[in-house]
Amino acid sequence: MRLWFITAIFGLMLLPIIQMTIHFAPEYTVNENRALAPIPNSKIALDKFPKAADLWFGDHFGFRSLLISAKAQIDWSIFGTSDRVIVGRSGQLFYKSLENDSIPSYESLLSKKSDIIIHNIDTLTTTLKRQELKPSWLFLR
Amino acid sequence: MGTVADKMFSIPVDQLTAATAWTGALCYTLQIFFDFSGYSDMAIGLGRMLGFRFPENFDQPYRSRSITEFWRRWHMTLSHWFRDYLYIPLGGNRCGSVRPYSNLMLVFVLCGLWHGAAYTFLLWGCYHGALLIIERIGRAWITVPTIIQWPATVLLITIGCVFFRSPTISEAKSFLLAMAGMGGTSSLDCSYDVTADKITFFVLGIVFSLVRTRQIKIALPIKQAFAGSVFSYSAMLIAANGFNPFIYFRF
Repeated sequence: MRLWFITAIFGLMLLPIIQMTIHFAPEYTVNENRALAPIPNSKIALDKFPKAADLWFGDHFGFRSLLISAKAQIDWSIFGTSDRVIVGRSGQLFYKSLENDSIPSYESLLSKKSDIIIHNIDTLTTTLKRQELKPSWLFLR
Repeated sequence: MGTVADKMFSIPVDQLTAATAWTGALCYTLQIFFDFSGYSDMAIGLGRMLGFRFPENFDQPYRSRSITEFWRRWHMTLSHWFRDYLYIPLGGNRCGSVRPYSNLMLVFVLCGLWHGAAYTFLLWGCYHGALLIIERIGRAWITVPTIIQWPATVLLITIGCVFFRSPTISEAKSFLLAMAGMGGTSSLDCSYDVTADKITFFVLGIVFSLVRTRQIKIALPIKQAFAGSVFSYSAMLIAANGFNPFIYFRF
């Protein structure tokens, strides 16, 4: 029983490299909003080769897309969450990093430079009014 | 745990609330244990494959009821090395009444510096050295009630982890002030980062760091199914989020 388990885990560890080599299973694709790392070529400097090879391997090992998709599915089906997006009330998706990180950034900026920001908005408002243009943004005082 | 701890420790100090600071500190306390304990287990396993038998490095340190016990359970190989090659040659416990304390402090100052040439590591070493000295002196005078021994030890370890994780002493101080409720205010919503999956792994982390799982008799197929599931989910995490380097790889 133990030997079977060890063999199974060892087999699982080898599956990605076997898939990369002989493509025995159909490729599953996920859409990523970035360019995957290219295969390192002979023009690359020797000292940068390990890093480039690591990046390429990280982006191209066998069953990567399937694993990413499975992780997202488990997160959503079991935990009702996602690492990268927030699901809005009407089914809209919001990037988590943009939504969450922007709040403290705005607060930090306003706490340090609120006088300058208000002065600039006032100046812009006055200039627009002088030109008989009606500003319609939220901050109008 | 690492992603939550990284997120909380990256929040500007003026935006740190008590909730975010405690979340970060507790997550990092769990992260550093599982990170280093797992790293050690990998070394032990790889060594065994090659015919070497290495000693265990951790013995559920967060079960400790005192800092002295913690250091008997945490990074045992380093503790034994410092004891055998520094503390005992310096005279150990048998060199008067004051000298053992200075030896102890010296050992922990060097233990801190062993982790890196940074004031935060030095402070972490001094902090643990001071706690051990206080514990030794205090033992003769005060008996800490059993009910608070464990929570007090975990609290002190968690505070120590803040020194270890913070990039500077000033940031460590701000982080600890935030933990004490003297931090800033923020509209940052922790619930975006502390999601159901993170809470599940946090609870599992607490269970596996405190419960003597080896003493619980579980059928081998169930253990294997659990190990296989954890292995598969870990592969998914690496595929989705990339490889997060071990904290201890630089030491």
